[in-house]
Amino acid sequence: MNTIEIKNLSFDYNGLCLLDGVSLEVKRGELVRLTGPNGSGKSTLLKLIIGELQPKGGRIRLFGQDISAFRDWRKVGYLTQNKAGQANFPASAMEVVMTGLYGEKGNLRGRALEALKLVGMEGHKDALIGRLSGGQLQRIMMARLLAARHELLLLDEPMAGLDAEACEMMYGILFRLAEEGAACLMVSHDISWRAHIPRGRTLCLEYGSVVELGREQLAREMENRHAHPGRAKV
Amino acid sequence: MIFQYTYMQRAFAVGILVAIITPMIGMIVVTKRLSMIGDALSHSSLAGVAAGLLFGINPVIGAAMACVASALCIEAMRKRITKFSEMSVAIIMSAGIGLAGVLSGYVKSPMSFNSFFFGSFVSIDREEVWFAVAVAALVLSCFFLFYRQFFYVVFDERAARLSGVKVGVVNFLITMLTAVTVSAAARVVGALIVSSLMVIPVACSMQLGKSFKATMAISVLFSLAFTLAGLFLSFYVSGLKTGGAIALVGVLCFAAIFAFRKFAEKIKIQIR
Ligand SMILES: Nc1ncnc2c1ncn2[C@@H]1O[C@H](COP(=O)(O)OP(=O)(O)OP(=O)(O)O)[C@@H](O)[C@H]1O
Ligand SMILES: [Mg+2]
Repeated sequence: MNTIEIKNLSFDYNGLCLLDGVSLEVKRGELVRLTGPNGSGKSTLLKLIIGELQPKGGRIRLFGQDISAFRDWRKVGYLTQNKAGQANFPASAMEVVMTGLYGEKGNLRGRALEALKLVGMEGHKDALIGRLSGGQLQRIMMARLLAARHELLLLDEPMAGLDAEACEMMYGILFRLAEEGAACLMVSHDISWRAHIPRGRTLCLEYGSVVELGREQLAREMENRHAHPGRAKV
Repeated sequence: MIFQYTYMQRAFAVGILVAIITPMIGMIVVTKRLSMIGDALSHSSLAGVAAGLLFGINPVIGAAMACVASALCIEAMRKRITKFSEMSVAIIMSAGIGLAGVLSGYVKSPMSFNSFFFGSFVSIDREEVWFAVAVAALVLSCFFLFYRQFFYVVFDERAARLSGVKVGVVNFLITMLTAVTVSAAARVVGALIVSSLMVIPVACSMQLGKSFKATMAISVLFSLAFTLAGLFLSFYVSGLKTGGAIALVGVLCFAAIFAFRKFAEKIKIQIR
């Protein structure tokens, strides 16, 4: 059973065709990276998966169930790309991480602290999130997802704004989660890491459909990027 | 002595209850980026008051009904205009004030209508005290029971939905609580001042609070201080209107905190 199974998905915004015949699968324990140019519809695809947008055609299945019948959304964690709504909210980091544990019982504060430690933010647990830097806020939002122990993570540019060290740490965390059986679909523009990391696949969304990037393609891609920094075309 | 008068006892009772619950609701509407909702609802409440006086219904009940109705309209419109949902608030506010203006032209006793603009503690009757008690009990028990849901929905509605929070129900509840709170508060502090009591204590406490809970608690303290100050001042200074006094004390306090913080920052920089 695939955790995510998308067949022939199509979607348009007011007639502007964005996705046209997208198919992809993410299995248990798999880390899949989704890349593609700005505006190609990556964020839109994630919003379709969480049921916030309705597809025009095709179907999406989560944990073997069609999303119209899927009820177990607690298994799904979603990290949004646009954090403007949360950035200046008057709440402490701890309060934010605790929301990830909504509806659960037991030592919740302990679990929240553990998640904050994982992302290296335990020292900021009582800080107002409005006073944190962009990267620090990103880590807090990740900690909230980690605390919740979801079985499927949909991450929209989780590495945006993280320094190299934090990226490495985040990849480490994601690989460990995958080893423990979680499935993860993450949007990322930085595909260079793929070269060093043997596990996981990289997909590219462009012109409305998804293709898988093979090893050689990725290697070529990286060379191109080094040759023309800032003008990378996947 | 101030408390030997029954009307002052009532004014203080209603004032304290309203001062506790209004900033709690305010905290939610401010963080939902709907600060203006208090204004819209209180202007609509004036239409309810006018209708009440015109058709012989208790004006506070009229105000409550008008508030609930316009809150429902705002919710319905917000769902349809997603991009600039603030506009729905402005539109309902215009509808409310327009209706109030037209209806007030036919009200026989303009004095009693005017007392709703800036509030009046002299004329609070027994039913109105009970109405305030009921509203306060409702709001406090909802916050006690559903605090986590409220916080989650306000902070991140999408994630709340994924976690199984009934977002639609929670938003509806918030809207209803806002409506009844505004109508209860409009009586003492005045329809034109309700919104200040909803926003200014929150604006003050946001400069001091270190978490959502703490900010909310501090805003209640501020609101109590403003309301009590306003009531005392308007009792001892003849001609001073309660609602106006409450709002001005609040604004002065905000300015003082703001200036003090800027000053403190400057000093810190100089010490370094
Ligand atoms: N609410 C909307 N209404 C209309 N068009 C939209 C809306 N949201 C996005 N679009 C359009 O859909 C396209 C895809 O947007 P999307 O956010 O999915 O891109 P993306 O691949 O995530 O890009 P990025 O790499 O910049 O994050 C864009 O051209 C955008 O203009
Ligand atoms: Mg995007």
